[in-house]
Amino acid sequence: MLSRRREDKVFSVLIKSGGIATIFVILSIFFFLFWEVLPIFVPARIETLKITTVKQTLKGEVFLLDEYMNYLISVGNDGFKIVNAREGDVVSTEIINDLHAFYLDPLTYVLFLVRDDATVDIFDILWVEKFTKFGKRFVEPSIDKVTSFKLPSKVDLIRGVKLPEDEGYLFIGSSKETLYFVNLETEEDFLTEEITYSPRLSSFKVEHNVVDVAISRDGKFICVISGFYLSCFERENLLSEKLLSYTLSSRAVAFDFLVGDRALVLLEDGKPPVVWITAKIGSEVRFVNAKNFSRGCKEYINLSVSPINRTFLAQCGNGTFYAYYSTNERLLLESPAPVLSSPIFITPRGDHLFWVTKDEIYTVRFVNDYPEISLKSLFGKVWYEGMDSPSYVWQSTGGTDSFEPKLSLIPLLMGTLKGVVYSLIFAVPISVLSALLVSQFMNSKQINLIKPAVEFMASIPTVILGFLAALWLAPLIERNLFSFLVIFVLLPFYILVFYFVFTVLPSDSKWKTIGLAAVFIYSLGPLFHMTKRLEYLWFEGGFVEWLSENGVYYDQRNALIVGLAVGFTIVPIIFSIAEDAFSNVPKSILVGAMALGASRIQAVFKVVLPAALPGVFAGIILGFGRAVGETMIVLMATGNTPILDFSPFTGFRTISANIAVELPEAPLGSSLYRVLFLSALLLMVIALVFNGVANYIRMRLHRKLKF
Amino acid sequence: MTNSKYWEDLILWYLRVSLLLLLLLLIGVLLVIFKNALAAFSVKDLYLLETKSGKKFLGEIWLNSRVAEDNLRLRVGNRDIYGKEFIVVKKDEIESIRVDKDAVLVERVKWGVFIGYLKELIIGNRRVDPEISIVEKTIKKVEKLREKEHELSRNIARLSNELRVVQEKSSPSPYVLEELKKRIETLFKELDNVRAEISQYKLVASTVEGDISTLDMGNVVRVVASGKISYFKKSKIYLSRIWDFLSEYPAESNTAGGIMPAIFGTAVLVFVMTIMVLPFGVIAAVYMHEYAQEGWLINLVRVAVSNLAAVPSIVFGMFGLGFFIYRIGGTIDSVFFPYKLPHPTFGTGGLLWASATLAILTLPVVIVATEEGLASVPRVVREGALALGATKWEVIKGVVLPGAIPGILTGAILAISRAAGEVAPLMLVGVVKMAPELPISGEFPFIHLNRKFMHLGFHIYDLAFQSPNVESVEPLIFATSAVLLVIVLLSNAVTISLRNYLRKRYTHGL
Repeated sequence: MLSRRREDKVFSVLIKSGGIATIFVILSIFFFLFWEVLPIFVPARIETLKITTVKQTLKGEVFLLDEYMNYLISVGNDGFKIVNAREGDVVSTEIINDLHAFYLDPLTYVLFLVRDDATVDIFDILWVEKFTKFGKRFVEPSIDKVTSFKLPSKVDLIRGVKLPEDEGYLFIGSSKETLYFVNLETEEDFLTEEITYSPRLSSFKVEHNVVDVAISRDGKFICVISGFYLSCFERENLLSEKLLSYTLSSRAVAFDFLVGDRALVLLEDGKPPVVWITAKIGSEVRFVNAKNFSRGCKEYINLSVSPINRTFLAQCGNGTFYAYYSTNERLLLESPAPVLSSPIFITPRGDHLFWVTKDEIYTVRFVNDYPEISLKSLFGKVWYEGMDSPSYVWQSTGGTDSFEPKLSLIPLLMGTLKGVVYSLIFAVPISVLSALLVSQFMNSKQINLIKPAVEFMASIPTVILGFLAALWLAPLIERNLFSFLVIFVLLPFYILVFYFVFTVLPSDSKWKTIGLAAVFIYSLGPLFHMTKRLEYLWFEGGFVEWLSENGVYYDQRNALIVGLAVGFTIVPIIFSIAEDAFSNVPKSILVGAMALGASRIQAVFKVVLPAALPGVFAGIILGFGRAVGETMIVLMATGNTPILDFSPFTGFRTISANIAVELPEAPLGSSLYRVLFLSALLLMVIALVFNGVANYIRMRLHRKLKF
Repeated sequence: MTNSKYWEDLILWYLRVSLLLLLLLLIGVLLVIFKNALAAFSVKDLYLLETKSGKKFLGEIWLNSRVAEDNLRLRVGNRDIYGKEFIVVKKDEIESIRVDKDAVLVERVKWGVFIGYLKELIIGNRRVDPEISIVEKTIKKVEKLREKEHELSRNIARLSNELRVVQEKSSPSPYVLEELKKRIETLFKELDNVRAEISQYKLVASTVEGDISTLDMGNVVRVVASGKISYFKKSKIYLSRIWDFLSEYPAESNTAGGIMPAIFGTAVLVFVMTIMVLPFGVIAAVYMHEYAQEGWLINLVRVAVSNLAAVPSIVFGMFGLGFFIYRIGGTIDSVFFPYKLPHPTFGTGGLLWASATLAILTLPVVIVATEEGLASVPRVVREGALALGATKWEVIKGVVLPGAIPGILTGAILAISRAAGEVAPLMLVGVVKMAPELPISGEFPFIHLNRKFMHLGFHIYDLAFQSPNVESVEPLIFATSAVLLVIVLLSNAVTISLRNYLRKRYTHGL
């Protein structure tokens, strides 16, 4: 007795815990998506301040910290120093007494020094990779002199960059109204493989005193502020053809190109930052002011651009600093800086910020994982670099590291909608009408034949339909587009012809129907050939070519094809729900209407159809929900190009196909990964809402029809 | 009145046509698939075609939807010589076309088929007239040799593996090492002998242009002289081609050969999924129906579970990737297999996670069906058992569950037929285009749940979209589709008939 009771208890506990655990796991799918999306809503922040006391006074003005934050490079008017940023020891010092001006490029790690005798030295800052005893990687800086050259006269302001792929260096120096532009091209000796640089100098006269210069790191653009005028040029047309001219309203503190070299940031006192991006206006490249930022400083101290993305930071004189993201005009962070009036710097991985005073280094962690995601970039129009106007674009990855991710979900949502609409156009009439016929005008024997057939239809794997649509149907329709369209339009009239034949013929056996159906099917062949001849006559044999000549673009894999294939998968759903709704209308109503003198058709259309209409609607909604989530067909039968139009002859990309294409390539936890989960969440919410609405309608209808 | 009768009949006509179109669609799809699939293996006549410009082509006629009406598409084979397998000729450029009785089609392991004329059979130093019966005998002989070759290389691989294991030991016994090395050496010698023997057999053939080409018999699978063989022979070849397709590994990066691993992978996947989904689904349903307190909470759970069926399957795939692979699999790797990192063991797609994903996908179906089954057991029966002194568990075990078995079975089969056709989630959780090993093998632990696997549905997708040569692969895609369709339709038919049978039994029994 005891053991029986114990057994009962044990199993009760087992089933309860097992059941709850199972239910928990399957319901966790709802929460898991939220969980994966959640981090993108966490705003950027700074964490844990670390202060290192440096054991010597630092006279530097510009600083660089390596990605592991082990070494600080400090450059000032007395030369440069390398400091151990963890311990505070000065590792090496290079004192230069005759230093006149210097420039350290924070993104290409190159240092230019001008001596009193107008000699310019170029140093590369190299991060030498090393490993600790435990196999952990770290880097040690080494500052190597590359070359030096002499300018005609001394310059006060210098700028320079190292060009990508070892193409050499660009240098600009200016004093008052003179501007020297030096291009140092790499020359490799064939025999010794020794690399030398030959400086080619050109000098310019500018109308006003040169205040600041910025060079894009690919060497393509050069921008100059002289007096109160900012102008940008292509390197080849320096000071001749202006790509941008802008009049400053107050003191310009800093300006620089962002990563990718197609966006220029300017900090002017008392204004939010101004960002210009390159845009194609007609056939020409111009800089346009396409971004608006909400906050700024009265008095800026400096600008620091992130080496990894389009984040940039501005330090204010009052001790606050701001972080912005260029693409979506987002203010990422507004925060007090740990030190007043020291410039802000960012580390090479963009994940730490630091400030340096005379004897201390302040470092903070900068958590900024998803700056490119915002409501504006997901759902709004954004003017991306190099484009001619603001637009909705999905292009998540590009060829280079400095690619600007374009994460608009609008093309995907619209693509999804397009696919669904075209499949509904095809599926709704055929399935609802068939359901009406089956439920109202057929006997149970016929019904028992047709219903399993439709169920069969529902179970055909979509990958097969996708393959058929893409490789069999798409070329077929491309070759015979005209015939298909004509037959599609003509079909209702053609049926009319058969109807008249039917009424004229005597006899009333079922063979007449079957025979006519056979003739109907067989006559489609000659009809098809007739349309082919017409096409040949009217369009010289090429309707598709004619279309494209008249500006209608035709993709082989297009919305029409997808509509047919996805429509095929939702026909059984709409059919069975609608059939269910029709046959649930009590026979008594139908019979009652007929007893009052209505004909069968009248009774069906005036009584049964209105009563069952909510059920039909529910079926359509369910079909909608199913079509939204369809993946394989759209993956195979569209070109998967995320474009935004509603033409039936072009392809598109849906949310589901986008996930299938991009998720395997998306690194865990990256912005793309999160956005894909967000799109999946959208997809699930859409499907669930539609399913819920449909079920609710059906439930109410059921209750209503029960009396 | 008569006027309105006309209209009414007309409306009825439109209804009829729409149903006709619906059925035509279904039949059309099935016809296209099965017709093309069966045609893929048939023995076709070889046509000799001469164009007006004097060009000669020899090949089988293969039409498909990409070929316009005024064109003719020929499969001329000889990919190693012509570079492509198919050519398209405009019909009005054809001078003459006739069946060529002398031509043969040689199926090869590499390079697809050869189409041309047989000239000679070389056996060692002898040159023999290539009569079909002799050639076929030779093929059989070579086939046996090739089997021997395969077995030898398998043995060599096994022994080398053993050798590696022994060498990795801290103190390998020199005797064992010596012994193993010796055995491997002898096997290699034997292998060389067999290979030399195989290379003695050669087939000399000429293309339609008269270029002589020497085919190694080791590369020849079958020689079909379609002009000279009987219908019986043709159907025999037809069946053996189908059998080869079903039972062989893919060859030439999936563009040739069979789909055995894909069928196998699909079956194992569905099997493992069923094993996972059934106990959990039944336990959850028993809990919800028998143990849980009725109320808004359990009703909410019920609604949520039934609504899960509406969630797009790709979302389940994401759940599988994000939760099973990255979270659980990643944790397993870092706890149990840290020495293999950064190479993931369970932190990557594989059979286990794919089955688990499909199990989650089909769990709602099983739960709902089982609950229906449980609900169908009448109260009277339970109360009778309770009145006889049975405990709750005894009632469930002895009375309720047996009564619910039909419901559970229906759920299981519904789950299977849904899982067999599902591809989108699998693409995220471990299906691959070419798995080097089957997920089941003779090695411990026999079922390798962390292995990647092939799948029929994904195979179709892969052939259609990743293949470098869609033209020649198209028949294979149709055939693979037909196989998948047959599997899915069969399991569906079983569901439908089971449901009808059970319905009858219920209404009769109670």
